[in-house]
Amino acid sequence: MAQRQQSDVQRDAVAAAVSWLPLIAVVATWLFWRSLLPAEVASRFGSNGEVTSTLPTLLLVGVAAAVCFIAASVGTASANREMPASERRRTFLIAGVSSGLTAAIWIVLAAIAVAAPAGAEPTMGGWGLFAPLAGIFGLVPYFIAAKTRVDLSGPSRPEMQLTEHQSGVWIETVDVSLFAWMAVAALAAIVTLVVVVPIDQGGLESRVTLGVFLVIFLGSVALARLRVRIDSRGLRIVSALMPLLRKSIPLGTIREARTEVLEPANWGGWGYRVAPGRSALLLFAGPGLTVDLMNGKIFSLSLRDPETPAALINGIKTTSLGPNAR
Amino acid sequence: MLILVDASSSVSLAGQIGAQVRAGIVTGALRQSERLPPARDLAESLGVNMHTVLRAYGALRDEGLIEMRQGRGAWVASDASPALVRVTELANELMVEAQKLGMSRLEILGLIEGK
Repeated sequence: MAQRQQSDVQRDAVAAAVSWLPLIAVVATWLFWRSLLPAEVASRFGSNGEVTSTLPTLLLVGVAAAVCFIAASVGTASANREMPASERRRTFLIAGVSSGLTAAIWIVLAAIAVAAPAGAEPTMGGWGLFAPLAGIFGLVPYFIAAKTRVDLSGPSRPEMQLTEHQSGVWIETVDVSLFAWMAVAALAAIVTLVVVVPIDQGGLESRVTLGVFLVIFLGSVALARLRVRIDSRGLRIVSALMPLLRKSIPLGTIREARTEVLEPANWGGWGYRVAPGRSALLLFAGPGLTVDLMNGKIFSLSLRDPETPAALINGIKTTSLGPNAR
Repeated sequence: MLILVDASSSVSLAGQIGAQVRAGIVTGALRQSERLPPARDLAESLGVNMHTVLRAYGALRDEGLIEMRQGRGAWVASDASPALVRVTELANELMVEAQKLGMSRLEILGLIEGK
């Protein structure tokens, strides 16, 4: 495996350091609140908000600290091991989601126990939403950690030489772990919202929040696995999990294809992005396929190896139009 | 995964498709349990007859590299591996060479089992 660059090692070290924040938060809140905390804290709540079970405070903080410690250790170990950058980032993500969720559960349960008036039962209120959302913390070390270096040293407009007797198709299933995890997180939030704040009691605000999470969930599921096909008919992208969601660009509307490094920062984020004169399916930062259309617009798609599909599109265009057509 | 077919090649179209799916399994472009394009769809993409694709898929299924179910399409077998592709290729070579020598299937089997 190639030697990692110094800047990548530094990024991974920072990501590893950030992975310890949930543990620090657990220990700090324990030290700060321990004189105020009861021996047992409420751990489950009924549909009317009443406490249905409790856990010993020491057990809860101990388990939370242990989970956060293990997650941070795994993240730190991955920073020092030789492995593909994508695998290291995934480790940081999973470790961060686990420790973020665990720390948030402890902090929420401890905070409502501390905030409860003397002699009264603690109430969860809207704090229940905070715990699943805290899983998003996993994205912090994920984005800090070094990304896979993109080598686009080849021609930005590659072309495959095809004879008139040849035909070709390029097919690829693109799995996007970021959207898969977002779908899981959104589903967790929906379940929490339905269980902790039943809709019939939550009012309009809860319904709107539920609707937002539902949209995030469906959008993430749609983009979690895509099937891409390029042939003489053009470019077609279909959501593998929601096949009705598809995008087709006929070959006749494509002027040429090229490879390009796609940065979500330049597109305002991930997912299906639309800007004047251009649109894109940003699945990750890195290499991508860009097609210039006859109408002057462009469409970009994140792909791990965009050279082959770009070369095929250009090759088919040349073959179908004749060598002097360009 | 890229599949290219050449109508002017001496290798049959089904043979070309099968060889490239095998190559996809060897290089990792096709992962275990990954879905293959429907035969009709692949045939349209390549401009070949659907039965040509089905013949290619059928041969790959016989080799244990893919699985097919009526109405569910085709996908790479969960135990398909580069090693299995290599053994299959060697077996095919053995069959061709043995048949050139006029050996029957039973004689070839006997030869293998005698080893």
